[in-house]
Amino acid sequence: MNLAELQKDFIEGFFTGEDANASSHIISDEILTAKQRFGIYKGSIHGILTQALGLTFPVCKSLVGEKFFDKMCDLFIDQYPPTTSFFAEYGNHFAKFLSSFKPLQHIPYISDVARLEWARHEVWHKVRNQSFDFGQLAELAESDQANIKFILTDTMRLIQSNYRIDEIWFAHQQDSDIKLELIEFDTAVKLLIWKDSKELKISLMHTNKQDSLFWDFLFAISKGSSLGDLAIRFGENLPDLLNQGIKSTWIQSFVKENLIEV
Amino acid sequence: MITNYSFNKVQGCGIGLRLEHFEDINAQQPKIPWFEILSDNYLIEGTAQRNYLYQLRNNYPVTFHGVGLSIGSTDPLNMDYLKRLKKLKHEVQPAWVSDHLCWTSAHGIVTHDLIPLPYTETVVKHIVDRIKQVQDFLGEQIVIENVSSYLQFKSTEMSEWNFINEIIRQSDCRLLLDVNNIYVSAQNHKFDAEEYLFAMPAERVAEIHLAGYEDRGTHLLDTHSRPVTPPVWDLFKKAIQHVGHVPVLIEWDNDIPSLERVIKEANKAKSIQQGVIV
Ligand SMILES: [Fe+2]
Repeated sequence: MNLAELQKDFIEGFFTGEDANASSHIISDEILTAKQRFGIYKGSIHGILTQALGLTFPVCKSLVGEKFFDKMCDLFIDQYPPTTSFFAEYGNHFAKFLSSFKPLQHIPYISDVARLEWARHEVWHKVRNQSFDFGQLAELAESDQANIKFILTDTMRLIQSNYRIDEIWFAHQQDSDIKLELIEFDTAVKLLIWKDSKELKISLMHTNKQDSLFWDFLFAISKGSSLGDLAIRFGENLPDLLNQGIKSTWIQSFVKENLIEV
Repeated sequence: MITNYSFNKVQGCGIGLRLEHFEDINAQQPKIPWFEILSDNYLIEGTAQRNYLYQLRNNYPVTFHGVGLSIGSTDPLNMDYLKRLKKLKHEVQPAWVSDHLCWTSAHGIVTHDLIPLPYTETVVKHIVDRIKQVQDFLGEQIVIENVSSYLQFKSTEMSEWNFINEIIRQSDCRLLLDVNNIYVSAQNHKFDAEEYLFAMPAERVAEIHLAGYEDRGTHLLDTHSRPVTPPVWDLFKKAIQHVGHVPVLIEWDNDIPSLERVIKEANKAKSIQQGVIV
């Protein structure tokens, strides 16, 4: 018996339908066969992970119903078995999985709802950053300034969707007065998910021009635009946007183009 | 954040700390001698849970209990995990750090469940080496727990109790004796729970676990979802006779009842423990 081989057979059996190799290591008896005994573990692992996904994606779960959710999770778990020791880090592929999951094509917004739930989950776990001295920006030569890139804080996420996912999410919260059946699903939204010292917030950013521009500005930063790019795109609005970004602490720091921290 | 806690001694009957009870514990500050925390849930810095733990630690001693060590895995030890554990240990100063005698991850995949091992000399050696590495890294003895199991390997060469004894002796670690797990495995594999219990190295037992299982007809499943059952209480009395008055902990992880209910279970353990003359 080689332990590494045995563990390989078990892992394969846990996360695929193929459990013959795993079962070959196990004693069958009059009560349960080797395959059934292996199945106890497989069922337990899938149960633990399904429960964890249900806690991270409660709105998705309630949108499709518990039974459907559990079956879907079984498929997800086989396709994306956990590679992290922390439950908090499991589920980052869930939205992607949902977007190509054929049986749910009649609710096309579900993968965006999953992105929103994942963003909330991630932000909740992140550390608030230390303050940064932006005075250094002024000390850079003008030619260097154009090349710098801003870094956004980890305690904030930007999400854009073609669906009214913020209301779908709120409609599933306790004591919500938003009725799911009254939501105009096909309304595009720009959202900012963040946390203050106490709780998570979802801010709607497209309802006025200024917020919308600020969201676009942060989004451009998240996509790697340099200060030079931002100047071209946002023109005379740049100083105000930059000021707002730094004041809100959503812009956390900056790096020079070559990605060495200043 | 480093505080020098004046107390980290653990004694009497504690309970496992669960998220569901955070608020009640804050509000009631119940008379519980200590809490065992599921350390893996607190290893990410800057989280609300971590802050809660810092707060809790001002009022109670704690022990750490993990599943992420995967001491029986053939993958290299997860040093990122161990570094985080060491840092948290430094900050919170638990009475000890425990994990399970099993594997939870292999070939880069983490099952988050406790998978048993074949009981062979080679596996003993493999585990002893790894426990020594972990103890060297953490700078202290660790405590390992016997797990429940639902299968037996063809390649097994020795009894589970011999396997445990060899590992503890050779690696110089301590034992977290889960009495419920002994009972569950004894029923599932038709061996004598008392033979197992009395073969355990009494002087190495740091802590006893108690929990409730579910009877699935063909096997007992260690669900931690019920009160402790009468045969496990009986075995617990024998365990006290064997190992003495070591700290005892109630684990309740599924269908979690009120904080009062879990404390009631701990108080029952306490009164049984006090009634046993050792
Ligand atoms: Fe236990």
